[in-house]
Amino acid sequence: MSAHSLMESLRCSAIYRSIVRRGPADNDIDRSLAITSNVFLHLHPVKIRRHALRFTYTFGLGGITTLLFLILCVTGVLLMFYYVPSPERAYRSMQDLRYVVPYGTFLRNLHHWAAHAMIVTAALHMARVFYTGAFKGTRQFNWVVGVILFVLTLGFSFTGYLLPWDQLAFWAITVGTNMAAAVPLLGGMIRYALLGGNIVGANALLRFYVLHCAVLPALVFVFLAVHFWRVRKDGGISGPPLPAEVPEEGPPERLFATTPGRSYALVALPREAPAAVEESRKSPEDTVLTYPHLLVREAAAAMVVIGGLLLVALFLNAHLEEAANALKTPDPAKAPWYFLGLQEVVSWSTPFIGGVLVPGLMVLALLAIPYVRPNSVGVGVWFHPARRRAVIAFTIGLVLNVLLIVVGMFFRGHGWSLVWPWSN
Amino acid sequence: MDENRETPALGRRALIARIGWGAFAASIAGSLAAGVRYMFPKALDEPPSKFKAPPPDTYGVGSVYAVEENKSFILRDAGGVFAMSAVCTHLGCTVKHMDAKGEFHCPCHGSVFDKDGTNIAGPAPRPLPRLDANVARDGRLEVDTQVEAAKDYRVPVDAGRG
Repeated sequence: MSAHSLMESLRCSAIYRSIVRRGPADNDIDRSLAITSNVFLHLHPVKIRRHALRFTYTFGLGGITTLLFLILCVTGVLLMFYYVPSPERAYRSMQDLRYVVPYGTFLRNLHHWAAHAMIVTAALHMARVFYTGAFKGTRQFNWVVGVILFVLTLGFSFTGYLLPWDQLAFWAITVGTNMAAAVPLLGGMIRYALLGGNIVGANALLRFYVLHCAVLPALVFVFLAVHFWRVRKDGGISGPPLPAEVPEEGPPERLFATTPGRSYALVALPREAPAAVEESRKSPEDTVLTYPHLLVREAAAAMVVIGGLLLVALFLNAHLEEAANALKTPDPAKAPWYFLGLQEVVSWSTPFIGGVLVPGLMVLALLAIPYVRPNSVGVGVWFHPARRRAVIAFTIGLVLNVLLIVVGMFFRGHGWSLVWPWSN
Repeated sequence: MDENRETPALGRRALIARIGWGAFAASIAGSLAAGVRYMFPKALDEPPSKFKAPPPDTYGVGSVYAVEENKSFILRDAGGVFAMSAVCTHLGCTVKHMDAKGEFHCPCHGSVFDKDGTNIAGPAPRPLPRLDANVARDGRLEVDTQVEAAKDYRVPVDAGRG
């Protein structure tokens, strides 16, 4: 019995059919059922615009960010089996992971690098959506959901940063919570509630742990669900406007009323239709079946990301500094790279300006983007010429952020003084 | 539903329903308030704010004595002895005493304080606060890190001596 015929008989078995409840996906009906009858895959539409499949349109950034989040959930849960959130044991847990637990270093590395990567891909995803005008029209609110998810992602980083309980962690959180204390009127209360006291101690560590492992994941799952749901409900992945709809031949095949920009013509396809049908019956939207066209692309992106992440996790170890010491501030004391822009601003200004006003205004500006001048100019096109000013403004903001981060990373030395990167 | 019947302004059923909804809303609001209050503990397992340091006359004039575990300095100048916080007024890092210049430097954001704790460079908005200090019965200096003293507060060196 060849492997092929073994697979065939397995697929025909009553048990397999009880799980999958459809025939082999060699026709369009079964291919669409593969999507709609699967609880996980039905996140996707059955058909998707060919335009949305172009890798250079989305670069798969939203999906990659989601994948990284799932990797973080899995590795995070595994780390929780060894990690104890108390000042006495937290740092020792990290050392155990490093030296005693089989593959502990590997798993921590995976978690660490996936977290860094997620910040990058989420930020790039946001930039992609901005530059392609994908936040316009029906998609205004989903941009807001995306901004909330980005802020939650930064919250994950901030809370996760304290957990190793090393010097870097301790002082970054000391500074971070003092920034929170600069909020007018409520600042002191916010700091007290965050830390569960006045100092970065046992209560603070436990609180950050609970936020990191329970509160934030729950919030992210909720907003992620809304985010995906709205992608579908707002008309699928954005793209340039459709050419005026021309009826193809004879009476319309549609069995249901159509919503703007979508078509359910698929259900009218006969089961016997050969695979080539989908190519010949081009709708004005120029759609193709999600299975296999989108799924293979997703699988390919996932393989590249996972492969890359595994390589990095195998060869680059996550940092672990000396154990937290409340009596000795390291010099220089740097925030994680994605907060270095803020630290730079804080170093020129008061905690209120750098720690509350600037980040607050940045988030507000992001939230306001879809509502400032609502129009549908340039949707679905990278850097549409009609949006030149918007593109320039966003790029300036982006470049400024990156520049500040680079300055903080490479040009700040002892006592936060300006130095050349090579002088250390 | 009987559409002809006129409902009084607040009938029995409506009143009971309103009381019910009100009670429900009140219980939810109360629970939420309790949940918020729950996040603010009343008792803390934190180090005490007061600590004792050697007696005032043990410090040489111009010396800076760091009390690391209490994030404080004890300094002596011509006028006497005083205690000063080592917590940067910017964002709470511990400042370092630079022996050469007599200045205090913060490693987090580059604030600089002079030998009296006055902020002279960097983002720090205020001088390092003077801390309340007194000579305890045993002759040692007792400092309270939670109580700020006046800017020119000093403990005379002969205080506590009979």
